[in-house]
Amino acid sequence: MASEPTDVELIREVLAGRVERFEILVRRYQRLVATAALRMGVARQEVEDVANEVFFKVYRNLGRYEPRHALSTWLYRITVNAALDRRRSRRHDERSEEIPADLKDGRPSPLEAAGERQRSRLLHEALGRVPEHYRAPLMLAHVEGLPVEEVARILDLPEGTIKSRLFRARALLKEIIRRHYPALAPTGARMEDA
Amino acid sequence: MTIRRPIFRAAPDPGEAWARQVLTPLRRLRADCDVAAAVMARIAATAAGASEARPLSPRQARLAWAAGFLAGSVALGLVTSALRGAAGQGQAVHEVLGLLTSLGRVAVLLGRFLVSAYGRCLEIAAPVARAVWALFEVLTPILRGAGMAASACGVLSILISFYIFTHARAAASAPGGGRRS
Repeated sequence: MASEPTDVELIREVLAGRVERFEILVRRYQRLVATAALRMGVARQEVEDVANEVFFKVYRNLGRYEPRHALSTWLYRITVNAALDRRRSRRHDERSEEIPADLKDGRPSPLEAAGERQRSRLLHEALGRVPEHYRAPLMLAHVEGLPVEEVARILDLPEGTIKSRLFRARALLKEIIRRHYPALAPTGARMEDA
Repeated sequence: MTIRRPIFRAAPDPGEAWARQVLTPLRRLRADCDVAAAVMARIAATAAGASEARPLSPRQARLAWAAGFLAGSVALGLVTSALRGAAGQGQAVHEVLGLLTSLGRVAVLLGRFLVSAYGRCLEIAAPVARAVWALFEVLTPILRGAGMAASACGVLSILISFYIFTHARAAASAPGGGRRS
C-alpha cells in the first residue's frame, strides 16, 4: 500500500508543475491554520478568509520554503502575521463596537454569568492590550503549546529573546487582568488580589 | 512639574502555570473550515490571469507583426482574385497591382533612406560621443581639483576679510577714532 506523501515531496511536485497536489497540503493543514487564526483573535466569520489568504501566500512563495524546518513552522509564521494584520485593521471597530461600555472604564462586569465564549472574547480584548511583540510568543507558547525553540523559529528570534518576552508578556497580562478584567483572573489569584 | 509614570510597573512573572490556566478558554477554541476548493480556484484564476496579462516579448511581438502582415497580404490577394472574377477581365487587377508595386517601391526607397540616415547619424554621433566621454574623463579630476582650490580660496578670503574687519574695528575704537595725529 502506498504511504501518504510527505510535505516536502508534495512541495517538490507542486514546484515541478503539478499544482493540483497543493490541495493535499491545504487539506492537511487547514484546520491548524484556522484554529491558530481563531486563537490569535481573528473573528470566527473571518477565519476562512485568513486561511485562504495564508495558503495562497504559501503557494506563491513555495519556492522559498526551507525543508530543514517543518512546514507547520512556516504556516504558523504566516498565520501569526496574517492574524496580527487582520486584528490591526479591525482594531478601531473592535474598540468602538464590541467592547461593552462597562468594560471600557474598568468597572466590574457581569462576567460570572457569561459563558466560555464570552470569556474567550474578553481574553482576546485583554490580549489586545499586550503589545504585539509580546503577544505573539505568549500565544504560540501557552495557547498553541509550542516549545520555546519552535516559537523562536516561527518568529525568527533568538531563544533568549523569546524567553524574556514571555516573561514580560505574562507579567503584563497579569497586570492588565488585575486592572481591567478582574473576572478573568484564576480563582486563587482573585482572592489574593482582593 | 508633572512626572509621567509608565502605565504598568515591572511586575513579577506569574509563571507558566498561571498563563496556562488563564489562557485555557483560548486553548479550547477550535475552528474547522474547508478552504481547499477556494484556494485551488484562486490559484487557477491567478494562473489564467497571469498568462492573459503577460506582456509579449520583443521576439513574440515581431512574430505577431509578421503574421499580421502575411494575413493582410493573403486577404488582399483574395480580394483581388474576387475583383478579378467579378470584373471578368484583368483591367482592375492590373491597376491595383500597379498601385501596390508603386507603393512597394516607395516603401523600399523610404526604408533605404531611413537606414542610411540612421547609419550616417551613428557615423557622426559615435566619434563625437566618444570624444565627449574622453574629455569628461580627463576633465573630471581637473574639475575636482579646481573645485577644491575654489573652496580653499573662499575660506581664505573669509579669513582675510575677518582679519581686516577685526583690525579696522580695533583701530576705530582707539582714542582719536584711529586717526594718526
